[in-house]
Amino acid sequence: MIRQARALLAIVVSAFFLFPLYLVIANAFKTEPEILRSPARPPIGPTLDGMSGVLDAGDVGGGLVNSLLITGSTIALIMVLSSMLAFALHMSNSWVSNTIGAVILFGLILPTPVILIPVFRVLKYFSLQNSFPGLILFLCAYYAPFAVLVYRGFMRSIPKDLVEAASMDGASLGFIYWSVILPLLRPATASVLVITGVWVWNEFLPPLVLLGPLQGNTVTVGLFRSVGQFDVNFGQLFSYMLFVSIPVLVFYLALQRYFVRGLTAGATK
Amino acid sequence: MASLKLVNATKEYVKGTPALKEFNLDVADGEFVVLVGPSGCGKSTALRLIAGLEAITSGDLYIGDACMNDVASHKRDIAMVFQSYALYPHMTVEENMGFSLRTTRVPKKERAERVLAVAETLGLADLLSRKPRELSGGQRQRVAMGRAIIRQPQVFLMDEPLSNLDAKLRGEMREEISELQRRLGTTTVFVTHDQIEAMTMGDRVAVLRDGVLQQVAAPEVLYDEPANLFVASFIGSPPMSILPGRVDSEERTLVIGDTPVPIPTDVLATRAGLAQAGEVLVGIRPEHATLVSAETTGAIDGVVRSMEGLGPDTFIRVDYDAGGHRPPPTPTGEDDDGTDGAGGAISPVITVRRSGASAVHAGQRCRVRIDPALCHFFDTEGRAIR
Repeated sequence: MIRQARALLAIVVSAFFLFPLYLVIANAFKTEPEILRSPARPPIGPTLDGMSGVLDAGDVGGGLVNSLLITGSTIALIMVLSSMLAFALHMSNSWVSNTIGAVILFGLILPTPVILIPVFRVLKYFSLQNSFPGLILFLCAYYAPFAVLVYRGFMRSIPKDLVEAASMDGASLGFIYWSVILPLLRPATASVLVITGVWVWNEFLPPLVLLGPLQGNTVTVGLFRSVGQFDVNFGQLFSYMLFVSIPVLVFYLALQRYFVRGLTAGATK
Repeated sequence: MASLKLVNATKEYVKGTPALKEFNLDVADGEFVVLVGPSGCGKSTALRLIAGLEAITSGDLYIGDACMNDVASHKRDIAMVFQSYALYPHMTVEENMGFSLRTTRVPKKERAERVLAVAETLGLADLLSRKPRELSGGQRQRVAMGRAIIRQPQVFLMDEPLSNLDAKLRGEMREEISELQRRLGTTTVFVTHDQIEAMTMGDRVAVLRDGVLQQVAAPEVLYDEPANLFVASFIGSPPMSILPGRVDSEERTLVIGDTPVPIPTDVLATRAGLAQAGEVLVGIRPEHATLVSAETTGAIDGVVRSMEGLGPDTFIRVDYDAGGHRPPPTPTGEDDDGTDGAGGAISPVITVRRSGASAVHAGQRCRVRIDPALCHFFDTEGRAIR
């Protein structure tokens, strides 16, 4: 009885989360009047009108490339910098490092809209406003606290003996980080890449404000702008959404195995 | 190879509470020294000071003639086998063993040759491409040894490397490590809490307690001439029985409870301190106590409490009459490790060793005869009386 109830609950919860995805997929292959008539109905006699409309508009490709570039660079930088920082904090257990650790955690509670204007001014001071590097640097700084938190938690499961053994074997701290610690952090890295990757991919306000209209769109800004541009053509809107969701889905599925391990590691010895 | 010397080495993790107090140890070139003691006695701290994983608070460490206090751990030319083995889980056996050669930029070809040579010595040649998780406990232990050997260091440090193995494998590895150390002739410091390892492996054994070195000597000297009550109780299994007694030098007797045991004249003559001793603690090894019939005079009255048959020997625990000194009996009789000072070390029972099976049974009245010539005597502070 309990088992059946549990299965039912799982189905309800899954449906709750999968329904929007279903809407996107179903409506991407329907015509405009069909969508307006019954948005939840599956596509009977599917059409590729929406898809071709999006591709003809020529915007989605540029947006995808920009988003891939920004997301890829950001998560690569976050991975390297956060794991290094977490390793340094893990190794030195002084009040200084603990204070730094606590200060970094404050970054987790800052909402983007609150800091966007000051950040824009800082970037402007360094002539990085309206540029990819400026946006990437901001996103790195914004999501690094989360990554440091994940890495620090995971590092507790790595025995200190390994670091001591490597240092007695003559390895420098940099070499130990690169050849011993980083490979062992793989599950944590997968979690960091997937979570921050999705967050950065979905990021809307920072690219809108920090990148500005002249540098091209990211997928989210492109979606926002397409609403006016296409006069709310829902077929094309859903097709656009499907296009921009595919990379995230592929990325998640590729790292899923490590991702789950990364989230649960450290929970038990 | 090199000698190793610790001079007044002290380590304080928290100011004012030293984990190791003015520790002095002189290890000769090629010698195998075992540091032994209960948990928290400072033996691992001493090893970590030698390894350079902890800084010495005061005192000096010499390897050869060079003071190593401020020398980084990897420049001390030492190799360490960790209790957890500390094998890199993502690397193969070959990569694990060759790691130190990689850090010192030994060419790939030479690295492979040296790894293979050591792997063959340790019987690991077929396992070079395996990861640590695919190895048994004993094989992992060998890889950890191989990783230490391959560097051809001046000193080996081993931190309880056998404690994760089962009893049978531990016995085998004990022999293997001793043999390997003899063959390589590398100065070795081995830490353990297992006195059997200490007694069987070390050329000399250093016994520690609460961060203080109690005695350092050859295993047989530790066993036969313990410097104090702690060493006497710690070394030997089952432990030495400690009974409260009084030496009556006029009557030339040792009085335990109400039982006077005559002390031969030559014993009093050879042990000068005994005549003036008065109240003493008497240590009796199980093999030096004999169970005799209830009619025998000059023997201590008692009742058999329990027996432990080990095949070749049986250990019989006897509740004895110690007058007003006898501590309340404990169910296990394991409170006699000397950790509570001299008074706390008094045994609730006398352990007697008998060859083969024994016909006695629990509850049986008996007497235990002890030979004062074979007894160890300690003053009330726990110091050996010689």
